[in-house]
Amino acid sequence: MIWTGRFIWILILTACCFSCSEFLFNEPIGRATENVFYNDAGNAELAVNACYDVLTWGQGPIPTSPSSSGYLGHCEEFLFGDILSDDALKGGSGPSDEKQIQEMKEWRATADLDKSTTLWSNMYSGIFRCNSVLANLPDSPIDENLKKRFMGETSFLRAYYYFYLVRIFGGVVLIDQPLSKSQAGKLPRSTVAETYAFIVNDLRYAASVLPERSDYEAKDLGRATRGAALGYLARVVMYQLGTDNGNDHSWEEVFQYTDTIIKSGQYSLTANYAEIFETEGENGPESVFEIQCLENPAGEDWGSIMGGTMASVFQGNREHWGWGFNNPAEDLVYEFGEKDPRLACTVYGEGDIVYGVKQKWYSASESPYLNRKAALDPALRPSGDGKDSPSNQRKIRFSDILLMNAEAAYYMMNETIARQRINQIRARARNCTKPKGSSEGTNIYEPYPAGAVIIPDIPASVSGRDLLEAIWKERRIELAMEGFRFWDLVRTGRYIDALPDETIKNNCRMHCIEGINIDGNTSYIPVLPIPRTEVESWNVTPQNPGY
Amino acid sequence: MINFLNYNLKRNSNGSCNRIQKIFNINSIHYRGILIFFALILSVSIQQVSAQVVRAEGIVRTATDNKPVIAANVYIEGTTTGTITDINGNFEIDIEPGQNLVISSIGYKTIIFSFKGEKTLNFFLEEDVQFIEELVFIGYGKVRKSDLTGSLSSVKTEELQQTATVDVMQALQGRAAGVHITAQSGEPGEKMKVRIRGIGTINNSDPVFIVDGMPTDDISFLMPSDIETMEILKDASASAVYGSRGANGVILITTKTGTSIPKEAEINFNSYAGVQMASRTIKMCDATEYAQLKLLSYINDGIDINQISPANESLYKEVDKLKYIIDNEFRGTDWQSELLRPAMVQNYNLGISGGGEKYRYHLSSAYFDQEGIVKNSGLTRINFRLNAEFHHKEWLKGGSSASYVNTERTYIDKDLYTGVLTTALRADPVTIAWDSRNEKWGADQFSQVHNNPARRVYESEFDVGRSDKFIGNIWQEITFIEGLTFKSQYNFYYENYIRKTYLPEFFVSSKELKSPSELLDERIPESNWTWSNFFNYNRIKDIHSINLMFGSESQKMKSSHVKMGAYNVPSDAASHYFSSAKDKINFTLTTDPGYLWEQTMLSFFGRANYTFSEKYLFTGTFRFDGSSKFSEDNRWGFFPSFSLGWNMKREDIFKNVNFLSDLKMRAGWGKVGNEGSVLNYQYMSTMSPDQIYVFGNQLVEGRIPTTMSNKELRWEVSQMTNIGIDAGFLNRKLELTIDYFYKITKDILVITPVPYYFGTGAPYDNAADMSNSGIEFLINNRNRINEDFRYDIGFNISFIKNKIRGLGGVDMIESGKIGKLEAFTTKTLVGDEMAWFFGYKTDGIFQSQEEAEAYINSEGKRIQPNAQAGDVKFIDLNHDGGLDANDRTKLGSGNPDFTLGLNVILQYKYFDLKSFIHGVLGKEAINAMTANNMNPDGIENSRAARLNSWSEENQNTDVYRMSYSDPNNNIMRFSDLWVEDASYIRLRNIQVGFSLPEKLLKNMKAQEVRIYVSADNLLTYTKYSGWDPEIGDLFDNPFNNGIDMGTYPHAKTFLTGLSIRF
Repeated sequence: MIWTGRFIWILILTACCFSCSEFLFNEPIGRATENVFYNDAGNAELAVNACYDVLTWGQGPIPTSPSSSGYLGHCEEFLFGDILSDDALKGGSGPSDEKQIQEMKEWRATADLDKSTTLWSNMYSGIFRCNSVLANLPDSPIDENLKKRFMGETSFLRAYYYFYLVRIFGGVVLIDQPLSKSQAGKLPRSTVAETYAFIVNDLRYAASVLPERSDYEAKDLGRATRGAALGYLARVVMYQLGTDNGNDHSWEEVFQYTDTIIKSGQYSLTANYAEIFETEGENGPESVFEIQCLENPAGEDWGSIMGGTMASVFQGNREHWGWGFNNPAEDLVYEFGEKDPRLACTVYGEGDIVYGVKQKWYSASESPYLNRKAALDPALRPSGDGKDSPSNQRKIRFSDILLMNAEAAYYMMNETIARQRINQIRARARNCTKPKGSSEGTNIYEPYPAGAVIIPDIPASVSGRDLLEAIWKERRIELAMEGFRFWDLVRTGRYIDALPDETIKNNCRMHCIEGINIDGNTSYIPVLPIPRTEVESWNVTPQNPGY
Repeated sequence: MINFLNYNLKRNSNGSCNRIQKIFNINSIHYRGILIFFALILSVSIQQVSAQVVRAEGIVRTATDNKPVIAANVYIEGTTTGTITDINGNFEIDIEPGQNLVISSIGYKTIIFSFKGEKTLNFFLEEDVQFIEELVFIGYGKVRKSDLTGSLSSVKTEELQQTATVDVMQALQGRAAGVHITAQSGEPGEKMKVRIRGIGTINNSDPVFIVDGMPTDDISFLMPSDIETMEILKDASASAVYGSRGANGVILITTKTGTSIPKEAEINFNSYAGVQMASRTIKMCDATEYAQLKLLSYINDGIDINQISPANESLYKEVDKLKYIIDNEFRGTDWQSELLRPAMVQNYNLGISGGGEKYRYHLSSAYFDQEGIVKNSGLTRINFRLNAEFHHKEWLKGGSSASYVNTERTYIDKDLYTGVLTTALRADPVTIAWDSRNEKWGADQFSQVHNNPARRVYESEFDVGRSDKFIGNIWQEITFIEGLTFKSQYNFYYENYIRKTYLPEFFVSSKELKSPSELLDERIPESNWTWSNFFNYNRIKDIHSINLMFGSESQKMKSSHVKMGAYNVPSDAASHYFSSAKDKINFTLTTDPGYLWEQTMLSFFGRANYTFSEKYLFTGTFRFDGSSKFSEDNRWGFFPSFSLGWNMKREDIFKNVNFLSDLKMRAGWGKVGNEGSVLNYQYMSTMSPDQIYVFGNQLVEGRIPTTMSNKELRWEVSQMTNIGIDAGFLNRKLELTIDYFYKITKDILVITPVPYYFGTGAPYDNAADMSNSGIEFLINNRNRINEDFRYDIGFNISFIKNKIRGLGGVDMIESGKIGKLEAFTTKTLVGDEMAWFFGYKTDGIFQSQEEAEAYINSEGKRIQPNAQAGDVKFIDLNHDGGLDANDRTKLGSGNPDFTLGLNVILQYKYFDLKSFIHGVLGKEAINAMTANNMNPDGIENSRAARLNSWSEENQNTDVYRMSYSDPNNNIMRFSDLWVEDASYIRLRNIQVGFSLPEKLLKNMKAQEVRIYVSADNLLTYTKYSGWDPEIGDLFDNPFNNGIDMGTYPHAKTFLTGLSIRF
């Protein structure tokens, strides 16, 4: 009896037998596995969206890695495009605020530079995502046309990320598919020309499959278009011509690409220049490509669940809302001359009225100016103490297309067209009003009184080298503080001359790679350091000169 | 106690007495019943004795602590007449003068007393080392301590209750050799970092806790007073039976369950209350000193502060303001005193235990309330616990325990930038905490911190976490035949965690504002169950003793996470609910895959113990573990261990060495795993949500894998070798344990770095190798000098050396970016210790311009071209003529060279003195606030030490100059100026107690009443200049060990307490 009792107990206690393999397999909860994800068009679209996400990353955290404990630095585009050039000074709360930016500006940075490390890391995050989509999409059973568009968007984005890399670092590691861990440290640096060839290839594909802007539905506003792909093709080719033309491009191509855009009828100049950088100017007729931003109230101020950009807070007035970086230089202000209304749309200073608010001034500003194009209407500021600004980041405007077209036309000895393009832009500038909210308490566009604006046409008498200088000057004014100046100086061979003193010039010369430009001359391309660990641990060699 | 008696019965050769004891103990008849039984026996005896018989009364106590000995045998030599002592140690016996009275009890030396007619007799039994047979838990069973072959530390509940804490781990700090416990900070409710024998691995070095057979990593449901015994299994031969959980050591906890000696329930009541204060504050500049330094930063940069033109309006105004402060000698705000406060701590704790033949129980409840020394921080905890055991049938027993814990705590902001403790050091003293004129918080004046610490700490009141936990188990144990048992135990754990954060609307300045108000609500329910089934077989035959165990265990764990937020919520506390939000509710989904998971484990294990002649001991264990964290091919791990012991004292040659009471050598080897190092689902590629972008002016969702997966993941394995000696001298008054261990951890699961150009989160990989070796030394001396005075002194010290043997293909890992400093501060190199501080070495400051210019390289170029008089001289270590990253070197590390603990208990009559000293020596720390508080620009507030900085007027100092632009990068270059010696010796606790004399107790019907006064952290000896030298891992990252970013300081606590036992 006793024994029976004991065994019944044992049986009860061990009745449940586990099947080992089933018990030990847990399907991930709350998320899908990659291998089945692309079977659905909606899912595929989510993956493509994730490729766009990286466009808005203005700073690290870098991908999980034991060496990262927190943030990498900021890498907003103005840090390079504006602050590295003669257009802007660092700014911030004082010399010790973001000291690395100043070191970078004076070409004293080391391979530990956060800015370039973050940029490198972010751009490769974008590239990884594109590669992940491009590897999985071809086998997906979704609609072929949609698939093509997705592939085009993804190729465009991959080119965008590589183009950023090649401008900052020179030739980089080219990756066109997801990697396995064993490949770490085994991939070589490609040359500048190879990198550019890769980019051009992606962009050509994108231009061949992407729809025009008007072919997209409203809900897709902001996706890469054929125009955007052509615009980048023009820019990519133009940069090569001035720096390293190892792929034998010509100004004809720049002209062709820009001309196609102009003739597409998809774009036109926004009537009022003052409006371009305001909310109402977002995705306007002039917008060829812009990074879409919105505050994500449920997100953070950084990383992938941020919806907007930190560029606004970064450049905002310290005394109102912002950190006061990227102070426009006096030199840039003189360039405008006295009666160019675009100046007021580009810089503001103490006592100026911005969005109806009279500006107080922070004592440690490095120049008397801040970037008006990056100013954010107080009504649009993120809630709470958020930094997530809803300001779209304009990357290619139609006026840039016209100016590229003008420059190409000039080199193709078609000065008439060149002058015509510039004058098109200057004519539009003449219609520019005061910037939004120029009187206290108002938030409207007030016109200038008669005679306050004088922007004469470039006359036919301006020719040859003078015309080229005029085009360059127009670029500097029209696109001021939009992050182009540094690369315009580099590709036209004027960068080192524009540096303020001999020490900095010498520093910069130590960090240049050489290329042969379209004229067969040696060009000097200043580059930032490849992140130290990439070189020391992962054989991304050679390190850029002088680092 | 009862176990110990039970067990030893089998070993006693005295048949008749054995029988009596057996009746007494095993069947546990009510003791009155026993007396009747004895009365019967005695009545039989009485018939046999003659008329000279006298009745003698007596009491038997222990010689060491004067406690009554229950159930001691008292009999007349050469007869069968005898009795046993009752629960108070009393006995009565009829005896003739001239006869010898024998008093014996297991574990004590037998006394033979020649009776001469005394009416009352007092006997003190001395411990007999041969027979002290303490049983210790070793996982799925227990063994005699003398049979132990592994390395293990035992801690008693009495020791755990000495410090004023409810955190069992905090109470354990410093008490066991080789167990290094660090508070991540002094904030109430903070987790403790427990490292058994060093950092075992990179990602998860936390030991596992086994509470009454239930594996868990959280023991907050236990009060220190609930714990009966705690065994720390340190080496693999002891912990390998826990397989994949054993690598970082196992802490076995047995909780109290009453006693089966039938008596009235015992009631314990303990309480204490006291006050805590910051153990130290940092001397910062006041407003005048701040203004002086700030002006100096301009003057030293060559700005003539008396000649600033009004055209440079803002600087003009600023200098004017600074001068005004100096002229009026304003003291300004002391931000530390705005944050810190004297804080109350109180604890009430009631335990009731009892039992009988068929059942045993222990019931406890506790209330603990600790305010933090930072305003609005604090913790309240309520515990209930019932532990019961039933002997249903002769062959079947079972039991159950159930605990409920409610914890409520507030969170202070500890962010690097906005955290209250860091901002209290950063904010300038000119800013006022509260602007009473305008009825608002004071706005930042100079420091650009824009985060009034007084405001931020006020808001902590609305950041409350509440956790409700329910933990329990139920078990049954069957005895088939004598020695063969089967036990089945089911454990469950459920926690519901809710954190509500309310951020009120405020306007301090255009740069410090919040609008609208926001309410965040976060919920994490977590549950798991474990079911273990195992057989135990014990058999002793002649000189062979054998113990076999085998069984299986399965476990399932689950957790999920949801966080939501709403805007525009009214400020009164009753409205802190979504229902009162005026704006629509926004949902926040977390992206952290660590939050949403299910995990299962399945294990088979066994152990064999064999003892020959009580001299030679052998133990072997094995365990197979299968985990859902790995793919099918790599799922199972095998973890064996072997160990040997040699009880040398029992060899003939030592038999007559009287001063030596115990001598044992142990040696063991084992393999253990670590399953905590890797998150779930890492072998599969999954799509991460929340890759947000915007199309058509709407936020759209994006998904992509954000980390690489690794199909090849497998178990991380540690191999540990341990050699130890246990020795006891002079009747065990002096005990000594020495252990040496060597531990290699291979295939460490780490997120190994991949190049940034992979563009994705690095995968976990079995990549790194590491070794830890060390020596642990434990000495204990307890003695009773006379009836009134006894002492117990214990000292432990451990030395550990950590070495990285491989890092998965890379030769170093850099880490430790802190605050303003944009460079790595720690470096982990293969062949070296983990996380060295790595930076420049300095050589004082240049006292003059000439000296600065004379610092040149062989080519005559200046090594520091921007240096001026008063700037720091950095050493060109590699002599390449310039300063660059290659001149950096090791500047110290947060790993201590050795740690020690000294425990002293003195007892004189009714007074006792207990004291405990904890020391951590040979470690350094990075004082990460240096960038802020020693910054040359003087924008944020400076330490008072900055006042001695170099200037034209104050030369010959070693503090570098103030400089607004700091062209020499005096502090923004990571150097030895940041690194400080952070060794410390701390008087962790000292207390003086008074126990009421027995006479008084009898009147009160109490068994023990003790009142005491106690002080925690009364004295700390350290050179460290931060708040506290006890520093955890910044961001919980072991590569950031020893980086102090304004750690919450430990409190100095003064309290009085009372404990009563009925």
